[in-house]
Amino acid sequence: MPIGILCAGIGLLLLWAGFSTPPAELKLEAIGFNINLAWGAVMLVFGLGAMALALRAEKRD
Amino acid sequence: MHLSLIDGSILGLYLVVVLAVGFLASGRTKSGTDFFLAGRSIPAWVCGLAFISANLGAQEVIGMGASGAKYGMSTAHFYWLGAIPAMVFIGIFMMPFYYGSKARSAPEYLRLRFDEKTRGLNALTFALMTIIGSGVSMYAMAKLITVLHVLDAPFAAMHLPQTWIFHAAILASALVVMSYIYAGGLRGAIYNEVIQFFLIVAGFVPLAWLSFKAVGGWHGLTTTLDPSYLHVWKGMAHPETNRLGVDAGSLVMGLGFVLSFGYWTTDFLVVQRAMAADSMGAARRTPLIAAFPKMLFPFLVIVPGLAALALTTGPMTHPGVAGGPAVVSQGIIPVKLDAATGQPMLDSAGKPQLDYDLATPNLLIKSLPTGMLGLGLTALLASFMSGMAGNVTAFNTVWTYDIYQAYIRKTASDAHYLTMGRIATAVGIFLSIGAAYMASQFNNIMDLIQLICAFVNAPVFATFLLGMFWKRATGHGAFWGLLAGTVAAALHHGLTLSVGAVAGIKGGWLGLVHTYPSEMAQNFTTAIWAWSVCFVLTILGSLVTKAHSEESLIGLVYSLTPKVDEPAGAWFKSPVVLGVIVLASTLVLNIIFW
Repeated sequence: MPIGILCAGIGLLLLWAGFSTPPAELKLEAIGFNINLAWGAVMLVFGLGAMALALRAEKRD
Repeated sequence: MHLSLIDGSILGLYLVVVLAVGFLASGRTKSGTDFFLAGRSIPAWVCGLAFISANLGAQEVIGMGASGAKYGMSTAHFYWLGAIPAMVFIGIFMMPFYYGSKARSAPEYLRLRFDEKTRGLNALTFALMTIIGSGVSMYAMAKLITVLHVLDAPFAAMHLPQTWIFHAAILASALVVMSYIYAGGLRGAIYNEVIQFFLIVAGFVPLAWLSFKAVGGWHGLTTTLDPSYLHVWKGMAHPETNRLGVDAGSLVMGLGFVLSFGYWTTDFLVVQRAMAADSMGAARRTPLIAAFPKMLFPFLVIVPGLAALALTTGPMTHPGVAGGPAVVSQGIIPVKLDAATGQPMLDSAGKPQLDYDLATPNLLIKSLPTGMLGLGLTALLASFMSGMAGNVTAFNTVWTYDIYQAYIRKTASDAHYLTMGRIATAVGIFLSIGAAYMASQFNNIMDLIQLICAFVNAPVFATFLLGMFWKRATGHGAFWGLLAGTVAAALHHGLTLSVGAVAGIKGGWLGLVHTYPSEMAQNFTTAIWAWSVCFVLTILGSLVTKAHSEESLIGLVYSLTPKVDEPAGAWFKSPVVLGVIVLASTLVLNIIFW
């Protein structure tokens, strides 16, 4: 559960960074896309998945 | 460089979660077994990830990135040759004796198998090694924060002197690690190590991918760097034809056998994670599960180092193994400056030396935008903290069971030893802070810790090997063999040097009888001497002393222990099947990057 909370929390913060950071600071030219949005979404999905698995395991026990 | 609010929030969230995990674990820490062995109740996959995470100290993430930039892909030997075979060996052959003997620590196994004096010698040297290891992680983290100027702006805003940043970083990391171990013991440390593992992967996957892309992929590396940077085995026939400066024989015997098996199969820091598993099967699977991510870690830590070098040097102009970085630009890796004069340091060919230790941190800062930068820095801090915590939990167990209970207070209640474990945690952290400041006064602390590892881990591997697989080995033979192995390591080190090194911590402090082509070749040979002398003298000493009765060795020695059939289960839970898959995959990686 803590892994899920941490990853989902970081995912949300990265999404916030992706939306709120000025384009110049996002290094869009060098990277080619908004990596904060992409990696934030990956971490949010992973975190929510880990939380769902933890909840299911708790219910089973 | 300054951290934004989002970067700081990511770091803050991580610190809150690791502290919360420690306090959640404290609810299930009621006895000594809970505190020191996590109640032997942890699932295999959690132990496996903690097993690898406890190893991720200062040397791993920063050190392997630096070696990647300096030596190239041959650094992968530290994984594919210097870790995976040993991890498979301990999982299949040695774990039944660690776990099955019910020993609470690796030194305690030596008491059960041999005698008290052998346990005492190992416990004392190991305790010293953990304190230095933890202190070095602490020092490296504080130095990194200072060098990267991460906290300059907040300190300036609070009108605090910039010189306090180093002290604040040491104190803060010490308090965080002490809090979660003091509260949750090994369980708190293990669950946090799993979190730290995921965080390190989450922080380094984008860095590795972006740096690889920035340099133009593998094709870009091949056109930018000398081919000697891109092969693992090619040129290993002679020290002069590869970047490590060692030949294949020393590499396989020194790194692939003695140092690797010495660390991964006897160092209680990692073995303790497997001993916390909830069953014998889980304990055996722990190092094998850890081997899968370990096998892939070169792509996370070495490839960024290579990319940093390629982005620093520009197109290749100097073919040939001896040729270092061809064009030193104002790229990712800065030129190493002399601390006294502030001038660039030059190598023997008159070319500027690069400060490889800053390859990964600088790549992080220059490649990642706000947000991702916070994640990357948090991943770095997580690696340092997991390294510190691994050493501190091993220290508190060995101190309490193998020194305090063995020599100071033999009989006391479980609650007393639990309290002593918590005190040992605080004292261990306090001593680590002392070691961190010692490191700041001592230029070559990393050399010192590698030396201590060669002195301690290399001979003790011979002791464990003979103890587990030769029933005739005796306590007197083991003790004197271990002592002689350590002395042999010191003598070899004291009588040899590597090319260009000055007598002192690098060796040659007793005189000079041989010069090695590289420091690595000298280290490997020191370890080979330590192991060989311990191995031979333990055999000779055992043959002239009285053997232990066979009944007393059941469960401790391979030939006298009935083979316990694993309960029927899925094929992927079989240690042998997992071991074969890991070894075959590692072989394929070696062939691909030959």
